[in-house]
Amino acid sequence: MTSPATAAATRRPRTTIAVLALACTVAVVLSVAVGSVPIAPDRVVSVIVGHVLPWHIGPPATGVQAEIVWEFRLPRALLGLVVGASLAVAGAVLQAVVRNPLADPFVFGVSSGASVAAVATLTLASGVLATVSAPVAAFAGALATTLAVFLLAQRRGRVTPGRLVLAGVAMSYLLSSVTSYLVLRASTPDGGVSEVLSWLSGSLAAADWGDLGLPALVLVTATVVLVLLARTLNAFLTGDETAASLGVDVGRVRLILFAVTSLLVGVVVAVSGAIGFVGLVVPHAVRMVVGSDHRWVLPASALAGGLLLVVVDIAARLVIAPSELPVGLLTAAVGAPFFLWLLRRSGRSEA
Amino acid sequence: MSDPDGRPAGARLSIDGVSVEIAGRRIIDQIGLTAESNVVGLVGPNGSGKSTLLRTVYRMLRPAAGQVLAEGRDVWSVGAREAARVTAAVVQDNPGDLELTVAECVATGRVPHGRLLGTSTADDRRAVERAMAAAGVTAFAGRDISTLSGGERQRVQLARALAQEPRILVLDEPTNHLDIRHQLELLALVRRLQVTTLVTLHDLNLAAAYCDRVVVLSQGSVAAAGTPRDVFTPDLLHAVFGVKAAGLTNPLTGQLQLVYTEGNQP
Repeated sequence: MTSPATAAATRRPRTTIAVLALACTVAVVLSVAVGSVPIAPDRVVSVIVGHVLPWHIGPPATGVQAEIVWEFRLPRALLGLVVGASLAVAGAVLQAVVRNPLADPFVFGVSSGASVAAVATLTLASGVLATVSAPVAAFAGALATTLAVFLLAQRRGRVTPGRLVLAGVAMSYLLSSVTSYLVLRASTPDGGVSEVLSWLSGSLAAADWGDLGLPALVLVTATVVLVLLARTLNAFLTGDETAASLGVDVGRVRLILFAVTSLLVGVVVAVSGAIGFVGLVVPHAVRMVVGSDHRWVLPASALAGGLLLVVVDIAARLVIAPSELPVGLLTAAVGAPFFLWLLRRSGRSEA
Repeated sequence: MSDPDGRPAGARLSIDGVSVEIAGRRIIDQIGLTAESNVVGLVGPNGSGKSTLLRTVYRMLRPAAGQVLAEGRDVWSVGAREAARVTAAVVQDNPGDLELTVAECVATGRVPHGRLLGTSTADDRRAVERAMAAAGVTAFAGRDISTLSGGERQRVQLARALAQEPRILVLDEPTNHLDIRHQLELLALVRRLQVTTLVTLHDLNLAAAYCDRVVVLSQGSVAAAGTPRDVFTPDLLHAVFGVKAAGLTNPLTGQLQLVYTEGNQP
């Protein structure tokens, strides 16, 4: 017997994913078109197609336009897509692993760890630190913090969701205070504070093709692995004991999932800085549409997260044009009210 | 072994000299029991080690000594997924705030049968539908678990366990938080299943009514084992539970009915 609910569960997610994929494509083209030198969308498409395929469609773009599209705006739009997708997928996984809807990469101290390391290289710039670039330091800081949180949450070889969240929150506060101290200490005329602040707020402004490769590779690999583990993630939602009875090695799988998400987040925080709220909000919004089955939640979160960040980045460039806002500032400004709105709504439709 | 309902032989569950230590303290000590094609009740005071023993069966807790054999094979050496294809559990758990729908939850019962790719096969879908029908939860397949009553949730967990197509079923306090009708219905349903069942129960009268055999645990050891009538004697209940007890015959069912009061031997 096929109940209406089962039918909906097999049809709606596919439609949602198709719509999101289309919206992402449109958003990327728009993001490339918008700017101090507006470029018609058909020109944008023609330049991109011209680079990807050996023939041209439509009128060829002028040299300058082609350069703006290919060298500056497209890498930025694609980076937004990759960063948003990575943060959203990481958030969806972490929420499942600790069975807590408030979990996101930033609750676990991943972002504060990255920030401390990056700010230290930007402001101290002496000795060993001077030889390391901020992105590399950020990545190392993210991984080290994740590991520390996991070890702190461990007791007699077992890690429970509650202790993970507590250890993460405590670590976040600790590292944030260190970051604040470093910023204060550097508040001298040439202490590099503006660079630090822009990095802390999160920005896609410095994107180029070189930033894209690693995050894109990690995103695709991690998402494929996670979708293969989707049923195991669903089993996590039933509780640790039940998951164990279903043949899931709860401790080991939790550690693997944690490592994969910190890799996802570390790589993108390293190139874009700390962009908050995407990992928290997007999985919730996605679950309201496709339900909690991770076979759909993960791909839909990736697309929705990418879409959100590309769109917010367009806004960040328009709000105070010709200047621009750090995109992380806007995601918080947009994400926080949206999250509160989600809280006010009751759960999914109970019909 | 006796088979009062004429069920076909199920898998044999054999717990052999199992001890568990947590933080250096011995929680259960050399427990042995067997169950085959029947419902075995595990009773005992709080802290006597019932749930701990069950944890060694569904692979949440590795015993410090002894073996748990399902169909003759040590559950701790066959691998987690293979063990979960034989043994399913309904346990006291804390599922948190991210809820699945009933159908999604029952489908997690197919995890141990799944291949690497997370796609569900026709077998999976059939098993899920059969399990939901057997537990009587098909009508709310599309609803969020959080919208269900306690009795409905417990039936969903049972359906999830049945979707594993187990030959051994482990139930930890399945009647907790259920009203009397749902308690009786759930245990009657478990009896109808053709699965070897090990169930912990606090209510000795439920154990007497629905279990072929009972095993009494006290301070981590087996205090008595046998049919309810043989085991639930006033002396034993006083020794293990510290209550004054008497055995009557239930006028509705003809089964053993215990009555108790606090205090010492009559």
